[in-house]
Amino acid sequence: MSSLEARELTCGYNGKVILRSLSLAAAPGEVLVLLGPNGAGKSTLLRALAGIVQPREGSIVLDSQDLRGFTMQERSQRITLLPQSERRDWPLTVEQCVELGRIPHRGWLVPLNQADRGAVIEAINEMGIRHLTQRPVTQLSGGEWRRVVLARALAQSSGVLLLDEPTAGLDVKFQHEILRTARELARHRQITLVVSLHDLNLAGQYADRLAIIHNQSVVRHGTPEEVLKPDLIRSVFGIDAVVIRHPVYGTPLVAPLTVSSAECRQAVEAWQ
Amino acid sequence: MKRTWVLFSFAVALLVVTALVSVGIGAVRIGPGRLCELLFNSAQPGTHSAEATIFWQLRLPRVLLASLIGAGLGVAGAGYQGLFRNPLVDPFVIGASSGAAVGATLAIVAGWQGSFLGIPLPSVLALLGAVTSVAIVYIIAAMGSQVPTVSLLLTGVAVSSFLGSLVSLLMFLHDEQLMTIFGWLMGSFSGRGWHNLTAAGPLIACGGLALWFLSRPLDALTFGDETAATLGLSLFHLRGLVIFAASAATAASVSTAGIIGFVGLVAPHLARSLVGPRHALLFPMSALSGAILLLVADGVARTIVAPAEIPVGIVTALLGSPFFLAALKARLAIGRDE
Repeated sequence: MSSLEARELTCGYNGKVILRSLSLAAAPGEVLVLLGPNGAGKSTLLRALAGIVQPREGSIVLDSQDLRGFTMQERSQRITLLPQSERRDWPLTVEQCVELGRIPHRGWLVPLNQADRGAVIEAINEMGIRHLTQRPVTQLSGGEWRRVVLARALAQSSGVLLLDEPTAGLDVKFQHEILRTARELARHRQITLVVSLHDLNLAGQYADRLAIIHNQSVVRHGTPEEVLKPDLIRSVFGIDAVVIRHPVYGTPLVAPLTVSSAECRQAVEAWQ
Repeated sequence: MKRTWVLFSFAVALLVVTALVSVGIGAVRIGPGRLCELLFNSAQPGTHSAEATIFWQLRLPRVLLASLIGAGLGVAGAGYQGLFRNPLVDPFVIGASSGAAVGATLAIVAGWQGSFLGIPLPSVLALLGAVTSVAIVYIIAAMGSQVPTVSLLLTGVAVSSFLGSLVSLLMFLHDEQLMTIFGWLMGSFSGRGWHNLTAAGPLIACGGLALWFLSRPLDALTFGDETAATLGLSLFHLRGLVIFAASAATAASVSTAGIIGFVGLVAPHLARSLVGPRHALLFPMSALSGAILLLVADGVARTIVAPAEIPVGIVTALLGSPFFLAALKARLAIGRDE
């Protein structure tokens, strides 16, 4: 169990500031979803939380300790980032790929021990990819590949899991499958899970808490019901929408409108 | 697992057989029976025949040297391929060989004969040259976290031709040593002896071993920079170590036997098709196949126009270039480059 927090974080690349004085905390066992338009800095925030991008000002705090105090190896034992896309240039097998998740615990040379094997097998079973273990990663479908990468992240056994757009490029079935699995993992392993998403409805359905990243900072933060409001959607994403409740789960469901604002407001008033 | 053992045993056996055949062939043929006698009864008096001299002073060191250099080039190629995440990489293609050639040529024309930490100065300068040119090619060709084939090849060509003209310039300015440099540069094992073996051996062994130790991080690197970073690996150090180790093997090879292209391309290809892409197995198998390939190439080089011989670098380029083109075509056809 670990809690992860950004405190007054300012960071960016090559002199360009992407995030400014951003504060946000994530807690074990719950799903924190980052939403925001393209280029808002969701990926940068995740990289900073993972310690791959260094804060220019402020800090990232892991269990009340500054992340800068950790070595790269200690950090990688406790925080896992899954980038938006991973390359798969060489046909390593699924099992070999998942085993790499043990690098933070075994270093460069030490062979895997019984505990490592156990973690690898557990991760493979948990992601339901047992039947794929000997397949080359280059031959997997997008959905299978995502599950393999998630299994490698699980094998890393860290308390914090950061997923950068895990649903990108997947069929709708796999989008839900990945998020459902991730949420179950967070609950069952008490992992601190931070996920960036593009789809407002996926976010509404799977998030425990939502943070909207816009104009270099968090503009709103809270439960999906508190955050997903038409005025905020208009000001951040630039579309008009009505927000209804999911007929089964009661979570907010965003229905975008295709007409101009004035007409739209009339339509919404009429509809209400 | 069992299959792996069988493959490795087979490769070792093939290497030994190739080496023995290679020792036997040439202007003076040494039959299998005589070979055994020479190998195992060397201490007996009366072995100072012409045959024994040829065997001990010419053939054996040459065959060992060809195996060593082949292994070094194979391992270096596999290391560079892992670094660039591209199976078309070869020490020759990415300018490492040319960089090493500039360093070694400089040492020859300047007449620096000493050694640094036990490594001959030409090899030290060759190492510096190789590291510099690979670093330049990497920095220019890499776009973000990937290295597209086309940009890699173009950068490699440009850097290589720049370095090639530096070598030409040095040769032009020191034309009294033209034939020495020229003969060495084309890639050849003729006239090499035991002292070359002891000069190149440690550097190639260290480079190869260091690369083998980097197997697991290199496996992780195949999935991208961010993945490697999230697994706690320092990309800067990892890349630096790979470049340094692979360049050490390349530099030792080039300063001993000149530019021998494409062994570093073909050997890892063969190895990957046999034992798969995991670096822990890929490096030893690349070393074995590199050694076998270069032994065969050297055998061809010294028998095809016997009693004369052609530089082995010409043989490997003649055989390797079509292979490279076929691999390039295959890679462009699957379009897994963007």
